[in-house]
Amino acid sequence: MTVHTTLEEAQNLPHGPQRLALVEEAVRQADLSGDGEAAYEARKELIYSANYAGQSEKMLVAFAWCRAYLDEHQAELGAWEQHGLAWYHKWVLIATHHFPQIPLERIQNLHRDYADRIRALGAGGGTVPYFELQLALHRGDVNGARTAFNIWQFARRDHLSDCPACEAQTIADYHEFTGDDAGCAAQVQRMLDRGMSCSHIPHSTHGMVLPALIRLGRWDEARRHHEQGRDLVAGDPDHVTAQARHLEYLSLTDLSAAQDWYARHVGWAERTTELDTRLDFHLAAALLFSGLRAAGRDTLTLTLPQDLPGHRPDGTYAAHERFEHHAGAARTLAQAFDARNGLPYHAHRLERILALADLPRPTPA
Amino acid sequence: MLRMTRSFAVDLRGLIDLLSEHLYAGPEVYVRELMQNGVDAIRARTDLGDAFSPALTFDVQEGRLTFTDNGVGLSPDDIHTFLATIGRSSKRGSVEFIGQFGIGLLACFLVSEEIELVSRSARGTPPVRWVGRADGSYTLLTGEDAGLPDGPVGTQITLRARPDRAAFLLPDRVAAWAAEYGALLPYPVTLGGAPLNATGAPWLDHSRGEEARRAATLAYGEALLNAPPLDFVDVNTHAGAVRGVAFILPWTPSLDARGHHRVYVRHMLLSEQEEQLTPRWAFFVKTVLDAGTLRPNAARDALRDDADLHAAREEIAGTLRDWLLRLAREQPGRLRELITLHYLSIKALAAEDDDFLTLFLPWLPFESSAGRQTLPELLERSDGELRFVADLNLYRQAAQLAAPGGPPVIHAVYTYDHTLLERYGALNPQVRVTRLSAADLVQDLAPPTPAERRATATLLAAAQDTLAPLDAGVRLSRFEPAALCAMAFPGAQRDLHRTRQAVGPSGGLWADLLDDLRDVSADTYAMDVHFNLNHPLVQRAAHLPDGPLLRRVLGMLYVQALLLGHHPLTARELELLNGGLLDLIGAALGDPDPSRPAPHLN
Repeated sequence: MTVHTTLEEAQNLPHGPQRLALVEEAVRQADLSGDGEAAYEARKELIYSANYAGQSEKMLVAFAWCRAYLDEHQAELGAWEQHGLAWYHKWVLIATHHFPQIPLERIQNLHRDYADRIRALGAGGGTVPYFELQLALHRGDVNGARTAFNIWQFARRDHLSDCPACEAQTIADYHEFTGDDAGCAAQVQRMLDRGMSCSHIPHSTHGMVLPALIRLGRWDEARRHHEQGRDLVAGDPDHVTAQARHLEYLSLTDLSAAQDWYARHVGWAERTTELDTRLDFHLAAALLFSGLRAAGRDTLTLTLPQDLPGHRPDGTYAAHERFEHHAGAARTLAQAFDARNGLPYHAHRLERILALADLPRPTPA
Repeated sequence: MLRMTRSFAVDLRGLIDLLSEHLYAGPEVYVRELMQNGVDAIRARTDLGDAFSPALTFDVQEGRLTFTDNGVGLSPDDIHTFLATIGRSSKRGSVEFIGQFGIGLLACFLVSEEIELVSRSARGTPPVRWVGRADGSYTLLTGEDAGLPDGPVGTQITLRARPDRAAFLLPDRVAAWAAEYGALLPYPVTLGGAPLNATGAPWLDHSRGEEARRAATLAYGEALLNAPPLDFVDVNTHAGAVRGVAFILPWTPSLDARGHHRVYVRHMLLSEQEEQLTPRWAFFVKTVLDAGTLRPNAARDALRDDADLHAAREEIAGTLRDWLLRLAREQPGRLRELITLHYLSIKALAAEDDDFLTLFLPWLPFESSAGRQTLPELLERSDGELRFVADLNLYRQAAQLAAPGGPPVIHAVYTYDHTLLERYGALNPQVRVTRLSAADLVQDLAPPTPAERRATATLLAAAQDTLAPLDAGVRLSRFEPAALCAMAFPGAQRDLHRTRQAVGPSGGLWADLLDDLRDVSADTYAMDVHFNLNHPLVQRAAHLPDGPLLRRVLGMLYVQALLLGHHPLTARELELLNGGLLDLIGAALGDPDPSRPAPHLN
């Protein structure tokens, strides 16, 4: 098989590990053939497939390769290719959030480099503050988020702006971040009413809005979003955060369904190198096991993957041990992120999530 | 303070253009909208308890189309209501009959400048005649006005083709569309007197006995698929009142052919490509479903995503699952046939459903170094351990190392396989399920004995010294097949290493980013090469003193291992290969000094 037939075969697959494996095979074939341009094309596909398979560490490596290659081969690839690669460049900025080993200064330099490059392409009025907003949301930087949000809201969209659906969801994220749960829920409703969609939306949207609805006590709506969203993200390695949101919802409404959902998703969540999504899952799992303890169910039977840390062949687990494992892992990760980000934000997330259990629950139908 | 209330003057033409451009698939939807209005009117009349024989009638002559239904009809008040409703709401399904009627009627402006409607209500009000024009003006006459005959109950609509849309009012095309949209209507649809439908779904026709029903349904399926279906499953849900059938496909569907199901809402075709009502994993069937109480979206091309839809899908999933379970219980031979075509679909369900997985996994095939095998077959050959690889290149190497007759390695790159194996391991802790990494493969290679270690110390040191600059670590092992001199395995972060080299020392920001990502704890070399002490060449090399010749030999063996493992060569490795070959050719041609230093190695 040639590079191009392998790539074609991959592009006919839905996003996920199989597609990514085929694209990696295409990269290998291209490298073997020594055809630089084919290697560039295959790695661009790798950027895309890795990004949508929840393996952005591979995306970053492929992007760095493409960036260097394009800088060296501008003439052959043509001026428009700068725009082509710039479309993928934005994912790099988001991916840096996942890895606490990347220092903040590097992230800020990457933002500057991105801004310089896309301004040179005549774009970026809205996109630059948009990604600054994303970084501020990740860091828990309230003032930074407010400033970036306001600049972004008055800026014009251009050909390198993020997709309209993703931008719309970022508005919902911002409302939730500022404590405006009702605004968050209203924005999500607007998105759904307009049928906004992309590869991530509304898959992640239904999960994203759950904590806001839970805090607002709007349990009927939460149930609807859970029912509509769970099948869209179940088993998808690119949706660990949404899986975590659904786990939180289930932990508050149906402990045995929550245990099944946990058993089905904890394997990848513990393996993913995208550590902020892993943190999301640890937090949700902590809520589940604190709920089980509170319900007096300390001894549990769970069917967990064999390579899971703390796996027991007899399938019997103690809720307090699982709680300690997840809460402890969440604290360690939160600390790593806060140390990198220079703000004490993630460290408070555990108590905030556990506090969801203290809210009034839905009255049984 | 002066208060004024005015209505907006709605530009109907603009609104229609918007609708046709953004809401509707194409102008032909006017046929569907006319029929939908007729169907709704007939149901409303039935609900009144009237005894009548429902029928929808088209007549097309020279660009003039007349559509007649004998439904409930419109009273003068109804006309006023729908005029007030037109354009007010586009939310189909949440508006009552009259409101929907008006919205449906609007679609006729897609093909006609003028719509003439003559109607008499079943409620006994006088007949009405309404003529609406695309510019928004209209004339309304009621029975009290002169000239309206006291016709039968029902509604007749007349359109005249816009010059640019004449093609949409050709009799053949209207007949084809009407036949498509109304194929499942339980009463006649005719054009110029000729019937367009078979009045009802064959699977609901029990009048001639079960055998006849089955035959008629399979014939429908054959026409649908252009091939006889393997079988069909009846669908009958409580939620959404869905009736229909799922035809078992006689072929394995390609990925893009999945999820194309034919769905009707209250007997009227909604979509040929509906993908929400049938569960995602069920791509071994093509369904034809008629939803009694589910709601369409505004464009009427898909179902509205709501709780009823979800509940109906759950029921359909349950029906298909039960059918598979019954097949497994009662006709295992047929299940085996089904699995050869549809194992992917069955794996997709098993990946979501533990009970189903437990029951079906023993039947499902996996690719392995021992060929296509089921899990029980694989387990028989592997001492209760299932070993799998989820990376293509690594699988190639693992398969190379897997001894014939020894424990096989499963190729779990395909969608679902990894999930299934992980769940299988979770449910069956007595079976070890191991995902192999390069490091695991390496562990299977036998390390040298202490005596061998002493005898090969020079070889190892020379190899390490030679290959470290190429970012390759070296080990000496014994492994089969003995014909392999050396095997090279990618390190966990090979791509990162290689890219870091490609970005170069002057890479700045990107080089720094890659350095950040480098996991120092897990980091070794880009490649690990194992020289095989079972191989005579390696054994002979172990007797050579350290020097240019030994280093050249080791370099060449390393590159050969890369080539055998289908690993891409870096520029330096390629240079090593070329230099080595030239040296060998030189030596063969009687080079005066075959052991001269090879500059590319130092």
